[in-house]
Amino acid sequence: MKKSKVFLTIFIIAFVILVSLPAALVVYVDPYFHYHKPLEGKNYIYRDQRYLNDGIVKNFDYDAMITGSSMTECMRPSLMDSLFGTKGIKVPFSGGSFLEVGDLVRTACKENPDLKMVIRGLDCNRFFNKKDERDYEADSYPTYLYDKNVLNDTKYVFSKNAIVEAALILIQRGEAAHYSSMDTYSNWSGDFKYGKDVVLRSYSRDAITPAETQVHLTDEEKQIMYENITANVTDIADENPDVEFYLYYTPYSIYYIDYYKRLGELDRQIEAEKYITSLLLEHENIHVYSFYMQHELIEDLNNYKDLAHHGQAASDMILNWIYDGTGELTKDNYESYYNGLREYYFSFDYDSVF
Amino acid sequence: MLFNSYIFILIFIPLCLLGYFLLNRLKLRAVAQCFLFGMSLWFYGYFNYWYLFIIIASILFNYFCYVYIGKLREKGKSAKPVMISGVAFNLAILGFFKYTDFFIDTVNHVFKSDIPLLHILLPLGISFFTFQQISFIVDTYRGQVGKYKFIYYASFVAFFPQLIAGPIVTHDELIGQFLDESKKKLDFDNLTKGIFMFTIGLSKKVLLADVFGSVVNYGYVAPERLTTLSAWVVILSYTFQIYFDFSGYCDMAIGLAKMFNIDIPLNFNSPYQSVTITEFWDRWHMTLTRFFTRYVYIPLGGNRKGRVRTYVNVFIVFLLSGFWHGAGWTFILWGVLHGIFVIITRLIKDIIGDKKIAKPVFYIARAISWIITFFFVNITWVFFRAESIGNALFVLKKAFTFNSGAAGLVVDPIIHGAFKTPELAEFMALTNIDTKFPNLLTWGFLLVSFIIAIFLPNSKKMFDKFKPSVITLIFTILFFVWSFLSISGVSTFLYFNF
Repeated sequence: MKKSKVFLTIFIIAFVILVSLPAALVVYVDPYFHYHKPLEGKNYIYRDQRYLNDGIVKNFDYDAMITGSSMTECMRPSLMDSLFGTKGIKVPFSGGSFLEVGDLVRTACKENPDLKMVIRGLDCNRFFNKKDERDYEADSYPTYLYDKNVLNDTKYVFSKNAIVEAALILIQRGEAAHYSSMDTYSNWSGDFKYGKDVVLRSYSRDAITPAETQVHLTDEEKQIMYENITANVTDIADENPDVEFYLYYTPYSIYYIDYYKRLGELDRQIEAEKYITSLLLEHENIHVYSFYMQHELIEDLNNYKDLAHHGQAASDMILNWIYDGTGELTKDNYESYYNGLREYYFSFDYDSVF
Repeated sequence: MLFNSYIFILIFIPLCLLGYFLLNRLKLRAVAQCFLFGMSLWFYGYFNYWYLFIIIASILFNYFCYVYIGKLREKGKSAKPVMISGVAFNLAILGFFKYTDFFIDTVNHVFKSDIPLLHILLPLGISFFTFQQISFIVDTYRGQVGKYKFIYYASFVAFFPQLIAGPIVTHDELIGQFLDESKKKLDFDNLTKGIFMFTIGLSKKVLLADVFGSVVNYGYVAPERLTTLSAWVVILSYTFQIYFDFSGYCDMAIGLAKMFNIDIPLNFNSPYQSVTITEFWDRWHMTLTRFFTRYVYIPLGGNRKGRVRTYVNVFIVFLLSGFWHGAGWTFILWGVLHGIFVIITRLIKDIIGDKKIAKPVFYIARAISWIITFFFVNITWVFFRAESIGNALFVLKKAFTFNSGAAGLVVDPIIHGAFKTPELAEFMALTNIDTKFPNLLTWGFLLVSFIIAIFLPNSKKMFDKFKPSVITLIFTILFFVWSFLSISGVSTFLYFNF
């Protein structure tokens, strides 16, 4: 046989074998849970949220979920389970918009008939986003993992990232050598220092000249919020009446409130939250919580690593509060709650906490 | 469809080769050619089917001009007006798709007006196939074109290996080969040679260019984050990215064409080895330089009208080249800088003449000249890559601000992270090398790329010398599989929008 024919034959055979074996490994281990839940007895690498979360909500056994932005990353589903008697997962999206988190909740409701409870954080710095806002270019998401089209799975099974992860999980080396769970997934709580000194590093207070007057919510902003909340929050609750939604406004630190006040946006912020609350309370399976009057959280900077992010201790507090009803808003109490809130934060002596 | 995609490698190419050679085996020459044209349209329309209308209209128009000019020539009438309007029409189409928004934006700036931009979608490769067809029309006018059947012309313009990012192949290079009976049979020597070359190109693209690409994106999005050394890593990364990306693409094109027994011209001849900037332009994007020489520089008088006119002609060519590369002031400035530097180099050459220099001095002079050239090319790439001239100056300012002391010599951990590809990072971790040299990969990538670009023989030489052997087989399998498994999540080719 001609030399080039031998070359070609061996090349094709070697190619087929050398790409099928890693692909088979990826399908078997399934590091992104696209085909199945994790293999028994193996630690997985819980890291790339936008690759993992869709698979987690589709293939894990659970009946409750915690989701939201990076503000929910230090939540412990195990605590939720012990309080509520659930079997929970955590699926946070760092920097996730209402749309992104909403899409995931929708998928979970659709794919998992057992789902009965969703705890979801709503970030106040996202209130004025449009309903289709997301942080990354739409085509940068690994959408081939979100659909059921087998053809585009080539991007998954032939990807060296997935292959390397699958191999590490199988031999339990590298990142897969350590125990991982839904509690530790994206949980950075132990990696940071907390307290006033650290928080101050992320806040140049003097750089902002205090505003003379406060701005107020406009009708246009209300319309944007209405569309965003309807499409990405309340519609999902209406479509899934058997699921209970526990929504809470993610509590940022007192410095963040100082920041809004200095910008002259605190009034608008409170009005916005109040408006969203009024929309949410129209739905029977939605429970709304605001913890901005839990002073032991907001004003104690030892809970925070920066202006907004609190660690696991505060996350635990939040779960306990949701369980015992602390900070819950109802149609009867929310007006007076926001009046009190406004009064408190406009008379607060901010200099005393610096 | 991208060359570096699963559908292209797993479905398109096997299907295309099989269909083409099977139809040719059945002696269905015209059908085989139509098949090749059809597959090329699928390849092109896969990006966006609207592109198909543009390319088909463009092919029909130019073929019509060709026939018309031919008729006029037969009758002994002047075909100049038809040629000129043909060229003008091609340029107008290119101008409409590529430069309308730039033009509106400039008008808005100058006249403080507020005309809305049209956000026209630039069809891929339009700059390439427009130039290709302009050369065809002009050659027809010059009487340098034989009788071509439509399908051969159409499959020449749309021939997928060279369709979207060159090389800018001329009709006489390709159509003759399409008609050559000896090239209609599957040739295993050419097929393996083509696979080998495709592998080299694919490796350059996905194993090198894309890694540098993520570093470059990070650097140019927010240059204020860069330290002095980070800025240099970013600048060098782009120098390597654009070279490996574009030359890798051309290597793949040469390899793919070879699988069909077709030879297409070399586009890159190790340009970073150039000792002068004029040499650089003889080695970088060679088919573009050839186009500008044939259809702009020489018609303007070339170097036949005295020194000053020569310099003016050179400058015009580089100004146009800058503008061709992109509708933006950054590209124009890039072209102008290159033009000026080429003129200065010619001036020096003209003054020195062909004086004989002693060997050691000669080598030192060559080394210094190489350093100046490589440095100049690096700096000008900053303008080429940046979003705006301000953005470019910011990156350069970061690179040339040395007053930050030791902090300036720290490379941003995110940049180091971008070089840590999963398989190499895991290899470093499992062998414990990373505990001793945590950022070895950053310097490794830069060093290896430098060696490849400056010292190794270029891919065309390896291609010409290729023989099926155990070593070439292992090399091809290893790099093809490695590249194939690295395709997912990679960026698009840089040269698409030119």
